[in-house]
Amino acid sequence: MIQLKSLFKYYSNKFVKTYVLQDINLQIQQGEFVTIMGPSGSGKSTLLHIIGMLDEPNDGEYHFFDQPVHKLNEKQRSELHKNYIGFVFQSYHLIDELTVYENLETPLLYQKVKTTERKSMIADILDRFQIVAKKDLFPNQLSGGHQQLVGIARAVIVNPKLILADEPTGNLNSAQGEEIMNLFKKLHQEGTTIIQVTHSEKNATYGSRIVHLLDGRVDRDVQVS
Amino acid sequence: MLKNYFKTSLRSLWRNRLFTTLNIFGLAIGISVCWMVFSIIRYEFSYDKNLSGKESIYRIVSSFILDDKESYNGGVSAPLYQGIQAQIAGMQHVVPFFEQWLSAAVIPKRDGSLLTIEEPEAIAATDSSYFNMLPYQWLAGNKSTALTSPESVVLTESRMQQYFPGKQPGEAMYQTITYYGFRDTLQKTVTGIVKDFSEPTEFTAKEFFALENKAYDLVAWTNTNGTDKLYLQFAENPTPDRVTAQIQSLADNKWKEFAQQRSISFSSTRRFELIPLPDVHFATHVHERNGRKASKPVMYGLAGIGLFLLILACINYINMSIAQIPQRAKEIGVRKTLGGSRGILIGQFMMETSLTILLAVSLASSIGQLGFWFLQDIIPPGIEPLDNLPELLFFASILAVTIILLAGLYPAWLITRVKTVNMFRNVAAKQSIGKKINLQKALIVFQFAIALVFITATLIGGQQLHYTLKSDMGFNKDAVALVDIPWKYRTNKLYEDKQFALFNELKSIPGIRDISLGSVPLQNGYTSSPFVYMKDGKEPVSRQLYKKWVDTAYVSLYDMRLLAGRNLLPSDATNEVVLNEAAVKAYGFASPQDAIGKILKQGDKLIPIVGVIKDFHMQNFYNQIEPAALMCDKKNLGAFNIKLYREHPEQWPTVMRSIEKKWNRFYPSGSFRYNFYDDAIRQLYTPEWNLAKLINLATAIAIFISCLGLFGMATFTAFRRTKEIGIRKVLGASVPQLASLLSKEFVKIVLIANVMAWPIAWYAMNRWLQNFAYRIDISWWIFALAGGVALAIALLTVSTQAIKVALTNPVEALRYE
Repeated sequence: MIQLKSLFKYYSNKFVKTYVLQDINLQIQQGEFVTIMGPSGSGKSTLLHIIGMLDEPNDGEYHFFDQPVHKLNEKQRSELHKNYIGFVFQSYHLIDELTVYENLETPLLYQKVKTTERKSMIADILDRFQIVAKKDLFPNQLSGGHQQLVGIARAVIVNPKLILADEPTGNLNSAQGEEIMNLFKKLHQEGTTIIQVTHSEKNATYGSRIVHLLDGRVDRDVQVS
Repeated sequence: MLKNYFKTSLRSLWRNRLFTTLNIFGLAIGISVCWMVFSIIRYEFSYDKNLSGKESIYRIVSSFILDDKESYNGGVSAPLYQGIQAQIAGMQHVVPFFEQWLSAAVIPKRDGSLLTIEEPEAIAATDSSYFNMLPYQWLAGNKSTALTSPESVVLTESRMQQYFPGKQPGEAMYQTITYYGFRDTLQKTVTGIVKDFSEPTEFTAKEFFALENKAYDLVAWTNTNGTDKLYLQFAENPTPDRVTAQIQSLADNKWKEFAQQRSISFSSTRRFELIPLPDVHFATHVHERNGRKASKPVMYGLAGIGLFLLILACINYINMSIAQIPQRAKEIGVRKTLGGSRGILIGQFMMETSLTILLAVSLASSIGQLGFWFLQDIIPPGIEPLDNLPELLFFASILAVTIILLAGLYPAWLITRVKTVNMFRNVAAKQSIGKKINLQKALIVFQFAIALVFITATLIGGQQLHYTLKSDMGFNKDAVALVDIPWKYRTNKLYEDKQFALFNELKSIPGIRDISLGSVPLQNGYTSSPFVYMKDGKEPVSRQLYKKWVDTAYVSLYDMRLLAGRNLLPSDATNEVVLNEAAVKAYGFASPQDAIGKILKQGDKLIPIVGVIKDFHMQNFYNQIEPAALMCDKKNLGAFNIKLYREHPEQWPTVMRSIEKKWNRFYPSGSFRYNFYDDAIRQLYTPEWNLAKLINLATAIAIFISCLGLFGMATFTAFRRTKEIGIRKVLGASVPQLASLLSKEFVKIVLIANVMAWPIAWYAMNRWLQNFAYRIDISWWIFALAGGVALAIALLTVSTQAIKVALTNPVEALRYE
C-alpha cells in the first residue's frame, strides 16, 4: 500500500542543511496497524505528514497504491489524500466555529456527497461513536476525550483506507486514552490501515508493528506479537 | 456547500466581533462617502442629459478684457440676436432669452379677491423659437401660437399651480395676470401651459413673456446685461468657431460704428464665446446671479476624496485580514487536511468578505443618510439621497463587487498559500506570515500619509480662512449692522429720498454710535468707470476706478485712515473724490500729498481729488486691492451702515427693534431686514467654509480609518511577538519598557508617512493659497503639528494593545511553545 524509497527531508538554512529524515525505506501493507516511535525530534511527525501528503520529501520516492506521489502535482495529491486518508491530531483540531455535526459534515462537503446521503452518513457515525447527544455542541463545550472522539469520527466518516494519527491520546487522561485506543483497535479489526505516532509504549501494544526512528533514520522495525 | 460557507463565515465574523465591527465601520464610511460623491456627480452631470438636440445647442456669453483682465458676462447685447438672425447662416434657431425682474404679479381669485405674488422669479421674455428649440410638453395651448401676441404669457405647470391653485391647465388658459414692473404695469393673458422639465436643466424659467421684436438704438449694441441671454441651435453640424468669428465681426462693426458716431474710444475689448449646452453648467468662469454652476475640478476632487477613503477602507480590510491569519491558521490547516482545495478555501474567505461588505453596505445606507443631513448646506439643492434608486443600486452593487475583489482576493490567496503542515506549527505559521508584514507596513504608511495630507490641509486651510476674517482689512467691521433699502422702494417714486428722513430719525436712537449711508467697503458686487488724469503737456492717464458712493460719516465710521487731504464735504452730486493709495499709485502720483488738488476727468466732468485714504479691502482676499474712489452722490445712497457699541452686544437686539420701529414709519412694515457685517463677510467665503467643512470631515474619516488599520497591525504585532515579550518579561523587562518596545515600530511608520506626506501637502496647499492675493505663509510648524497630531493618535491607538501584551502573564505567553 505504501512504499517509501530512500526518502530525504531537510530544512536548509543559508549555510546549514538540517536533516529531519534520512534515507527512509519503508513498506506498509494494507491492514497493518503501524506505530512510529522515537524520541523528540527524530522525525516522526514529519514522516507522518509526508505519508499524509501534507508535506513533501526533498528526495526519494513515495508510492501510494502504485501511484508515484512524488511525481503528482498538488491537485492530484489533494485528490488522493481526500479519498483515501483520514487524519487524527493530538490536539484534535476541530473547527471551533462549527458544531460537532458540522465538523463531521465538512469532509463530506469537500467530497461533494449529496445532502440526503450526507445526512444518513452523519447520523450513522454519530450513532456508532455514541455522540448523538453532542451533535449540536461546539468543540469548546466538549471534554478532551469527546473532542478526540469527534476528531476520529471525522477522520473515519469518509471511510478512508488509511488513518494517520499523530499522538492521538497525548492530551487525554489515561481512561480517555484507553477508550480511544480501543476504538483504533476496533477500526483496525474492521480492516482499516492505521499509522500512529506515539511516545507511549502502552499505546504501541495496540498495533501490529513498531517502527523506531532515531535521528531521522529507521532504527528498528519490529512486529508486535 | 454555500449554506456551510455562510454559517461558518457568520460564526467566524461573530467570533472576531471587534475586527468585524471595525472593518464594517471603516468600509461603511468609505462606501457612504462614495455614495454621496456619486449622488453629487450624477446630479451635476445630469443637466439636460436627455434633452433632444442638445449637441447642437450653444449659449453665447460675452467677455470683456480690461487692463489685461478678462471678466465674463453671461449675457449679450440685446440686439445681437437680430443681427445673427439677419446675417449668419446655418442657424436653426436663434433664441433670445431676456430675464425679467418684476415687483409683483397679481391674479384675481375666484372669490374676487386678489392673489399677490411679491417679486416673482424665473420670468423671461422670449419668442416662439424657444419652444421650437426645446421639447416642452404642452398641457394647454401650442407652441406655434402661444407667444404670437405681445400680451401673451406661457406658464409652466408648477407656476400655474402657484398662481391658480386648484385649477386645471385648461381652466387657467386665457386668465389675466397683472404684473407690476419697477416702472410700469403689464396686463398678460395666459396662452399656454407647459410641463416643467423633470430633470435638472439650464432652462429653469417658469414664466415666458412674448419678446417684443423692436428696433434697437445703436447704443444697445454696446450695453451688455447679464440677464439678456442668447441661445443658438445649429441647423446641421455645429461650427462654433466659424460662427463665433462671424458674431465677433458683426458686433465689432456695430461697436466701431457707435464709437465713430460719438467720437469716443472704448477702454476695453469685447470677446464672444460659444459654450456647448452640456458645458454651460460647468462654465464657472461665467458668474451669474441665478443658475448654480458646478466646477469640474471640484467634481474630480470629490471623486478623488471618495476613492481615497474607499481605498483606505480596503487597505484596512486587507491589513486586518492578514492580521487574523495566524489565528485562523489552524482552521485552514484542518480544512485542508479534510480535503478542502484551494479554490474552496478562497471561496469561503470571499464569502466572509462578501458578508462583511454586505453588512457595511447596509450600515452605509444609514451613515450616508446622516452624511446627507450633515452636509445639507454643501450638497447642491435638488439632490435626494435616494434619487433614482435603480441607478443607485446598480452603482452600489458595482461598488460592492469591486470592494470584494479589491479587499478580499489578496488575503484569501495568502491564506490558502500557506503550507498546511506549517499551519499546525504555531511558530512556523507566524514566521511564514511574518514576511507579509512589510506589505502591511507599506499599506499603513500609505494610509497615514493620506491622513497626514488631510490633517495638514485642514490646518493650513483653517489658518488661511482665519486670516481672511481676522486680519486687518483696512477698515473696522466690528459691530456694524447693515440695512439695505430694497431696490423696489428705491426705484419707486412713492419712497424716493425717504432714506434721508429715516437717517435723521435714526440718529436719535441711543445705542447707535455712528451711522452712515453708503455701499459697504468690502462686498461681492462693484462698479467701476474710467477716470482720466490730464497731466500738463503729457499723455492723459486713464484708469479704471472702483466707485464707492458714501456720505461724510463713512470714513470715520469704518475707522479708515486719511493719509492726506480731507474727507468729503456734504454734497448732492459728485463734485470731489477721495482716492485710495492704489489709485494714487495707478496714476503715478509721487505721494498721497502729491495727489491732493489734482483734477480727474470723468466724461466731461472735472472732479478734484481732495483726500487720500489708506488701502482697504474691497473684495475678497482672492483679489488685489484695486484703485478706488470714494464720492458723494445722493441718488446712489441706499444702504445704512449702523455702528453699534461693541462693548454692549446685549443692547443690539433692542437697538435693532427701535430701528425697525422707525423704519416702519417710512417703508411698508415687514420689509425691514438687517445683517451684521461680520456675517456678511463670512458669507463671502461660503465656498471656502464649505470646502473646509468637507476637508475636516474627510480628515476625521481618514484618521479614523487609518487608526483602524493601525489597530489591526498592532494587534497582529502583539500576537506575533507574544513569545519575545514573554521571554523579555522573564528576563526582567518592565511594562513601560515593553510598551515602548512595541510602539517604536509604529513611531517609525508615522515618521516615514510624514516624510511622504509633507511635499504633497505643501505642494497642494501652496497651489490653493496661490489663488489668494492675500495669504498666509506656510510655516514649518504646521507640518510639525500635523506630524505630532498623527503620532499622538497613532500612539494612543497602539499603546492599548502594547500595554495589554506587556501585562500578559509570561507563562501564558510561553505556553504555546
